[in-house]
Amino acid sequence: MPRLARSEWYDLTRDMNWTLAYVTEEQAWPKDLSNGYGVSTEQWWTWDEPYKITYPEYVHNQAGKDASVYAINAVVNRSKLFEQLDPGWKSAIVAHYGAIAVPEYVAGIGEARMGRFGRAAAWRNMATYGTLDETRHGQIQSYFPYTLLDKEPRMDWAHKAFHTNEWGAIAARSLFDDMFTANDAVSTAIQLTFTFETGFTNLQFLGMAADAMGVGDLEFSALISSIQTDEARHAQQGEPTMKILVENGKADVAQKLIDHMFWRSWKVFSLLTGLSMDYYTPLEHRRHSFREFMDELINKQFLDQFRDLGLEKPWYWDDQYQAEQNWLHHAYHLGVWFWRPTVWWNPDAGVSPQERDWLEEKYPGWNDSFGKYWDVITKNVRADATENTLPETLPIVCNMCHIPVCTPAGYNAGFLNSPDPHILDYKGRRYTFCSEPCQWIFEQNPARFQGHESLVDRFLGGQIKPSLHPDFEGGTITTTHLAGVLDYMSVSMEEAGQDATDYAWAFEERDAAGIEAS
Amino acid sequence: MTSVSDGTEGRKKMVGPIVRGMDAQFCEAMINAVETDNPDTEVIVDDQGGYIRIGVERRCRLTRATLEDELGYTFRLSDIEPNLAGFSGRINVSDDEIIWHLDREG
Repeated sequence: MPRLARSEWYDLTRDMNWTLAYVTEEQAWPKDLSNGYGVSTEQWWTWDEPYKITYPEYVHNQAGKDASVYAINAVVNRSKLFEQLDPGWKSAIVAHYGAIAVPEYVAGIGEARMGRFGRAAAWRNMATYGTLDETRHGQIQSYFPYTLLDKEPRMDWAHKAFHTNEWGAIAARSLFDDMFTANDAVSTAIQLTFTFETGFTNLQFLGMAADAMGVGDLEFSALISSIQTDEARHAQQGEPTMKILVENGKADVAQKLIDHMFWRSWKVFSLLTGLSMDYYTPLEHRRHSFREFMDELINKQFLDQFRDLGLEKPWYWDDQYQAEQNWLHHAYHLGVWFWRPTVWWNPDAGVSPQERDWLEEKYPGWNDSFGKYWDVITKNVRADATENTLPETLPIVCNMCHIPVCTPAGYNAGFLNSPDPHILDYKGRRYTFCSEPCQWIFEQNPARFQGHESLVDRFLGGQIKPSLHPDFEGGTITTTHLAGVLDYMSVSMEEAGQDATDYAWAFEERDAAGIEAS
Repeated sequence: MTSVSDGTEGRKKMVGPIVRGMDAQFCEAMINAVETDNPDTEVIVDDQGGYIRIGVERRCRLTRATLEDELGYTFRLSDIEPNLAGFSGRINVSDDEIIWHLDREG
């Protein structure tokens, strides 16, 4: 018996739009939950997803995806694969799980909101799949680290991190609350599914999958690339939403939403993926530098996509964004390594002589800019003075991205005109920003951001108490304020990050110009 | 300040699937199918281990019929998803073919 082609019945099964009679549109789709930006209901009903799938196809595919990835997990668990991984790579995946697992689950809230408050039935249908996708991602990225707990106890940060006040967790919560937990459905489609998923998740979930294969971490490669097959589909909620905004004269709305979230995404991926690719991944297995992956996946692939829909580069593209790609993650790395007790993974310095040569090749000028800081650190390590390489208090933190302000490093490297942070006095409170775009995002909607306190605000406000701590690395930070900060962050002495290779890199012989052996 | 060029203008815009680097046989079939479905066009294959990027300038077509020929068995186009880790360009999925495209000039 001949079967109907899918296209002959697809619209009938997904379109359940109806005219409201008993409630107003504002009651059914309140602006806070679904900002229609003045586009008419009939126009929203033209929403048409470019990536089509039916529910039976969806269920069939997802069952197969899970079966194959969990099978790999089961086999790998019986092997010695994890024990044999490079310490820096292990740090990259411990960082990944803590930063990603619960936020994925939370992203399900954003998808579910679109599933209810999306402004067309076709959209709500796609978002329902997206809700199930993100639930899967939360579960699978909680389960895999769970199976590694006996080998690496800090894998429990996969579940724990997002529930703590660890500084990276504060930054992640701020970002994700802005992007989807506390966002309306239309803005979520542009900011989460388009900007974050069509653009930036490729860095961590495709780029790192490439590196994982080289490292031999088959499980991680299979896991994250499988997750990305879901993302590639449900990210396609962004394009039709954007098309409707553009066609109805709201290109400026879409542009602003992208400009806002592109910058915030850049910051957090620079922190997570930048460090993992350029410092934690073993040198011999680096497919590309972070900068090269940025060029491929963001500066070409993603730029082409949003320009094709009639939008333009964000206003800060040429002056701020392009410049930051040369220095920001190097500064973040230096800071994360120095403040290593405040993170749940073991930062890998990644600056052995061979690694420095690679950094110089990929980022010309690195030795003269960032290398000189590592020269001082190396000398201290060699002189058995590691206490000089550990922090005693907190850095300045940005009131938008909640990542430490690294402007002096950018200035010293020649990419900023001033080492100073950006300061804004607003309604009796002083706000500090790492960059002009972070301040711009704040000023677009101060009411949204003005009440949030950064880690430093909390410290100065007395929420974080200095306290005595047992000895840490030979008692070097026993009496400092940082002990109380670690308590506040729920980072115990046993969990606090240490150098991933116990400073082995500092004692490697060099074969090119650079630091002097002491 | 160091000046930084953006390097995005004047280059070829490539579109096409990014296949998970897990199932070698499927990856091979995808590459061959894209080559067959896009005659007289250069197909660029970039094997990154964990993923394989298949790129055609501006418009890339993949049909179910060609993919079935390459695989040697019947295949629903929607079954491509577990191996489709991403793509460049914009996608359009219909019953019997997928088109990746970029339309804007410049």
